[in-house]
Amino acid sequence: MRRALVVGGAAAALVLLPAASAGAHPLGNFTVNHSDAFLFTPDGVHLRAVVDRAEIPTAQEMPDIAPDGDPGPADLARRAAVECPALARDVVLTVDGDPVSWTVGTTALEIVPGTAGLPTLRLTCDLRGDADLSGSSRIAFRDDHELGRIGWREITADGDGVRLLHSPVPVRSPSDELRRYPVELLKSPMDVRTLEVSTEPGQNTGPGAAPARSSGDPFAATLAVFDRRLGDLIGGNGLTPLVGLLALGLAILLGCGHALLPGHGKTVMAAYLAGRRGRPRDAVLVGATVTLTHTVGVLVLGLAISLSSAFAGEQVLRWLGVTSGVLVAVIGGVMLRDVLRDGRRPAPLTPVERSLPVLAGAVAGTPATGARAHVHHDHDHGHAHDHDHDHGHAHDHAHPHDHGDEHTHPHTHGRGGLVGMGIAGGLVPSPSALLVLLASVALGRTVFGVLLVIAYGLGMAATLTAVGLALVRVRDRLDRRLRAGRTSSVLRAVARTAPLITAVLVLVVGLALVARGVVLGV
Amino acid sequence: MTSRRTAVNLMAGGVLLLLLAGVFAGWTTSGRPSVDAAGAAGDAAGPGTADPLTAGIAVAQQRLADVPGDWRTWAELGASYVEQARITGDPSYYAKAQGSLERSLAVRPDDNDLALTGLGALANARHDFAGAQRLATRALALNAYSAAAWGVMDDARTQLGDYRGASDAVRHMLALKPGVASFTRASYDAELHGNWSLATSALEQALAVAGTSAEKAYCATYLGGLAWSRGNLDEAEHRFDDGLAVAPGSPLLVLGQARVAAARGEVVQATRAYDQVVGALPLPEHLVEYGEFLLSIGRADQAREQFAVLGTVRKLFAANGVSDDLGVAQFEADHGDPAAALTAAEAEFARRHNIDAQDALGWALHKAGRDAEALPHAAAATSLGGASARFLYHRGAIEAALGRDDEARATLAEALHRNPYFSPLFASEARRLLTSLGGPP
Amino acid sequence: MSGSASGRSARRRATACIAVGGVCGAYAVIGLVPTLAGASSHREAPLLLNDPAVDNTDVYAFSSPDNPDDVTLIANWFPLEEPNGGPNFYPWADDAEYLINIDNNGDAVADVIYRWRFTTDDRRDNTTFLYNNGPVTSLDDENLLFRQSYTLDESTDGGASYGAPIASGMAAPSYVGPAGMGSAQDYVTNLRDPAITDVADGGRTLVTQTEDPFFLDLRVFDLVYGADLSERGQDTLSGYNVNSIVFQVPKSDLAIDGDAAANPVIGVWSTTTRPTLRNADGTPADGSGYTQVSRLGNPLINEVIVPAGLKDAFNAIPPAADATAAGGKVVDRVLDPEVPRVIQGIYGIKPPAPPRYDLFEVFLTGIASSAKVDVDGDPSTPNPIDVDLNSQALNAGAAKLQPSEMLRLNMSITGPTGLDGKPLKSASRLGVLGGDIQGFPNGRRLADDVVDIELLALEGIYDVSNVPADRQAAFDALKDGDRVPRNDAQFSDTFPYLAAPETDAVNVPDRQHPSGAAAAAAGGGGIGGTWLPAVTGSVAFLLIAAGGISLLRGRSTAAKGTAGAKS
Repeated sequence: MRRALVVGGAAAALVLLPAASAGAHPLGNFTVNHSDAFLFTPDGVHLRAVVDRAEIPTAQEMPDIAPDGDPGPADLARRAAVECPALARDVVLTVDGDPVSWTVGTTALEIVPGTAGLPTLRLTCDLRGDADLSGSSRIAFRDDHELGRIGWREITADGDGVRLLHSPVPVRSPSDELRRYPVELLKSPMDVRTLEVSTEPGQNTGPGAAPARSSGDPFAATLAVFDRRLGDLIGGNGLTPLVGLLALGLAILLGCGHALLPGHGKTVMAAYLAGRRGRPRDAVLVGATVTLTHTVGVLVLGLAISLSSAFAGEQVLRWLGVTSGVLVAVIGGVMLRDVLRDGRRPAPLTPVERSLPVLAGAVAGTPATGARAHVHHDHDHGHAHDHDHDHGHAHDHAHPHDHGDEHTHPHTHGRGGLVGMGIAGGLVPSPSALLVLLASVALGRTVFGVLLVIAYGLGMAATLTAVGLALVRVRDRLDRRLRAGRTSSVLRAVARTAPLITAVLVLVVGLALVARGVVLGV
Repeated sequence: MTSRRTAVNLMAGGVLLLLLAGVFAGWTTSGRPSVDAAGAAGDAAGPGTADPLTAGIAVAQQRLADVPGDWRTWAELGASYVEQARITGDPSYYAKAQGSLERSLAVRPDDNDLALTGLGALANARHDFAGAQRLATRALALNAYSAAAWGVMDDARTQLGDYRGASDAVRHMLALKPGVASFTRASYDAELHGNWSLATSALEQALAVAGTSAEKAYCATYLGGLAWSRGNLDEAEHRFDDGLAVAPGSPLLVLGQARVAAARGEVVQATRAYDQVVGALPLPEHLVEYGEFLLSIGRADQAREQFAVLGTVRKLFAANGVSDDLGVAQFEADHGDPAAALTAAEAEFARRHNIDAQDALGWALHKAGRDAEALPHAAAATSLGGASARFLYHRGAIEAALGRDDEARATLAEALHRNPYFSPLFASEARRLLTSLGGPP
Repeated sequence: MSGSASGRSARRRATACIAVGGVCGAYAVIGLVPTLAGASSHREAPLLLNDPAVDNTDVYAFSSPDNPDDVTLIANWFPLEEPNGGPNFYPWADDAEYLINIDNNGDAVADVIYRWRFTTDDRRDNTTFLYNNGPVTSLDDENLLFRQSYTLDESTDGGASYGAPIASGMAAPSYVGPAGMGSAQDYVTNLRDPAITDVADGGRTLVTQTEDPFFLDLRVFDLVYGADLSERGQDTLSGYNVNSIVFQVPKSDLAIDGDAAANPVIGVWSTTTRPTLRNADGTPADGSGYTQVSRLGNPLINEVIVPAGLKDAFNAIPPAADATAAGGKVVDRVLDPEVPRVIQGIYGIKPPAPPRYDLFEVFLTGIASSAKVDVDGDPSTPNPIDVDLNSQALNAGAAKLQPSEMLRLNMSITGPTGLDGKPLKSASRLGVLGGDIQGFPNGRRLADDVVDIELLALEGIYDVSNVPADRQAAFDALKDGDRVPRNDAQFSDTFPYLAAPETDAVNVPDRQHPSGAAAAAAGGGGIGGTWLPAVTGSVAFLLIAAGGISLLRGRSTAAKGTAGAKS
């Protein structure tokens, strides 16, 4: 087939043969390659379109750009100003079916030297279109520019304040915006010309997406880095047992780290331990409850989200936060009522407290704000003073072992409260754990994802239990010092009022959480 | 204790629920997933809309990700990439083909006729016909029943000018695997030898068994080409239109339409079609053909533009270490420097003696004024029986230059009888020359 | 003390509950795992030569369970048919010949050939590519736009000439979907059963689509690509369909001189031919006009015996050429196969020493005693499997046996039979190796686990109840075979014995992520059906936790030894 061979063969000859010089256009000298990089914001769409013409198409264009064959900057700029609007007419984006009209921003056309010193052209157009992406939307895009030309065609999409749900295209360009074309034996040449994706407000959390921009302090930033590392491990191809173990270890570490960040009921737990008699077992109990609740919460929420892409995860998290606040406020209220009603003696069991363990369905907990962090610090000071006073009380109640039902009341009271506190602290899933699960599910590695979430929970449990145990230890020591009678009267006075302060603080924190959730919607 | 009873009740409830959950889990995992989208879309459109080659490539890529030692699939993937490169024109497939085939050989260096055959197909695609023949020989030594290896051998031998060997290879291929690949090669073999009816019927037989749109487009392209090369413009147009119905925008079919339009004098359509062709597939021969068409309608400036792009292409060839002496010889003889044409033609002839090389050398010698030396080559180029009108025109011109008017008139008349539209630029030249000699005999 | 005792028992109860609950909880979590079939059900076969419509996949031959005078032959084509295969579906090639060949005297030349040829009646015009434009409830339903009919004829002179057609009928079409053809049972009732056609002078034939009756984990053969046998147990062909020709014929029609009692052994193989190049006038340009493009007798011959370089040869040559073609390489390969050496490389198990005359018997001559067929050419040594089972040499009217590859059936064994000749209660899926001489390699029944049988045979194990000491290590390593012991669908005891076609799609195409389709299918399939166990599992966890906490409470109370604490 002479004709076929000549055609095919010459086509082949136009390709860089392996032994030829470096710097040749790797995809073949007659390709026209496209990159469409999207950034979706709540009020519009930014499109950075790059067109990379290889040597021959450039040679075919040159007469129009500069008839004398030597284009200067003015020629190129003029040409760019003509080509970008033409490109804008060829790319069609609709938001919920309504087409978006483009405004052409900056344009640039530059000459990049190619094979044999021949010029290639690189056109860059920044287009912007107005669109309302503040709610859930459906985006559809088609690139009809230069359809008849062979070449690499890629689309990438990211969001700033907009989250892409199950985006079929990556966030980062695989070719570094047409500068380096990867040669992969097991992938066909990139030819993506259309994009359809749903969006909703939020942070884009696709693989490779920028981490949440809100974290300021270095600790949270480090955790964000580890979050991404874990995400990469999940998504990587080589999931050998070693990598899996590494990922599990990383998940445990992340659980520890995230537990240290404000937001998992440590504050409230600490307050509660301070306001009641705390024992090592209680610390373990709270830690375990937080973890169990958190793990289950992540699994349930993660499943719900992966089932229905219309499931508004942000809304759920918000209401979880509110409910958590309510629970904390209730507990704080109960503590306050106890303190006020009975002076320094704990009240008999109330139905509310008895039923606290069964409040398993209650969801609670929010990520902390700066305000909470401040509260946390204040509590630390309060603890030292609370301990000696409460320890005395604890002794009063703990020692007489043979008081039947009466005894179970303080136990129940404490236990129920602790469990409730633990639930309150643990039931708003940490976004990073949620992300881990969703990413794993999306990649078909659900079991692995579940294991990671459990590992995450173990890490949290370890931290919270450790914190609780440390508090208990501190309090024991202080109590001993108090009983040894070496403390000042100021300290003793403060210790006496500590339960009241603690109860008030817990109540205030709970109310603040509720207010935050309702008013700010965060 | 009430609380203990509560506790036990709670736990029992929990266990029951867990058992239920386990039942649900078992129930849902026992069935296969019933796919939503495909089912919801109804019975008709299934996942089978991708053509078998693309689907097969995707399957092979997945397979090799799972079992990287599968040298058989590496070789088949490489061969599929070569095929895909031919169909789409996307040259990035060639590097992938080379990598895949080399990987196959690395895993299994011995007894790997599949990889050798694939490399042979790749060599043919890159114009290394001697290399392709060597690879096909090695493959056939390992597996004499490989229809694909015989196909590679046929292509290589045809290009090298071993026409008898090529016919033999085609016969082996037909005996092993009758189908589109062997029927189309049989058609070309028949066409070269002037057996027009078999050439057409073989392509029609191929078209009848063609399964994919790429295969149908291929058959349509060359059925149209056959018709055009016999001067049957209507039938050619009909075939090209059929092909474009299944493969819209395919450059070779558009080229066919361009030729038909040029032959009919439909300048606007021809220009648009040629533009599309050189935009999608700016190969030297297309650029030259477009340029010659532009010259024929008096647009010399635009023709020069096309030839300038051709210059760019030549520079790229040089930079990439690819030689295209045949193309250079043909172009320079008609539009450039006859000395350069002769050098290139002699270089090509040193490599192979097929009819293209013979014709190029004869014509270059003619342009250099050495007609006596030119004639044997021109005669060789037209000796098989199915000579193209252009080659006949070349021979006629050389005969005329040598003063052999009777032979020249017969040859030129034959050329124009075969295809009066063989070139927008040179068909009229041939007509002029024939008239000046006294018209057809 | 009573308090603590009761506390202990309560604790034990609770612990047990927690343990059970934990296990069930784990099960609930497992419910989150995507179903295995969905997780990797890509089309995993390597790229086949682009002619699947004529590609033989399997041949079965067995005495009809419902009629001891008949033998059933089944030949399948067109592998890996996706049930959701529109718009092209899986038509039979209407210019090809589909053939079942019988050699009853052992000379490796076909003595009886049955040929099915198809005609397509395509009533679709250019407005639709669909095979139906409405529900199809019968073979001649006007809504069925694409129909194929066939004629069956017979040749008794080795294919030189064929007699008048002995049957003609409609092929049950490809399953197009539930809207068009209802459920699988509807397909069987409305389309498949009516397509059963009687054959002149006794017998029946049926051309239909069916779920692929072959069951195996193809990954086992990745042995030769460097994988080990760690990944097994998944029926790679589960969920796919094939095109099938079922043919039931009196045994006397196939035996020498019509005497199936004296000549019980037949050799069976299936071939397909395609028309060669034709001249412009329609006459063949070369030869007879048809050329053989596919051939199959014993299953998996290409996977376990014939290496890649001989596969093309095997498809092109008739059995008579097996001993000589390609320099005799086919025979060489049988005598010294590659798979046992690969197994040795991975597991360190020494294979039986070549030349493997046992495999020679199994694949090339049929199992017979050395008195009938001396496979090693040495009269003083017995055959490796020295029993008379299924070689044509056992026939009274046998010709000189020409070793050739084909499936050999002893038609006189009509039910599961032990090595001692006595009937067995049930068939063994390991056929002869499992002590059931009705099974493979004596013919092939639908439920015979040929992968396991061949793997064991390759390692020289021919009786799993009596493994020689030197083969014990091999047996231990391979006795599970591919861990797919049965087909996913049930076979039937009555004609046509095959299961209905699969109706659910296997693959989800994902254009932009072709390699992610597996993940998508996995994720989608797994998650979509598991929210129920997940939710109930979660609630269960919480309840158990609450109960556990209460229990802890109770335990600490008991530990404090309260007199008033009651159980």
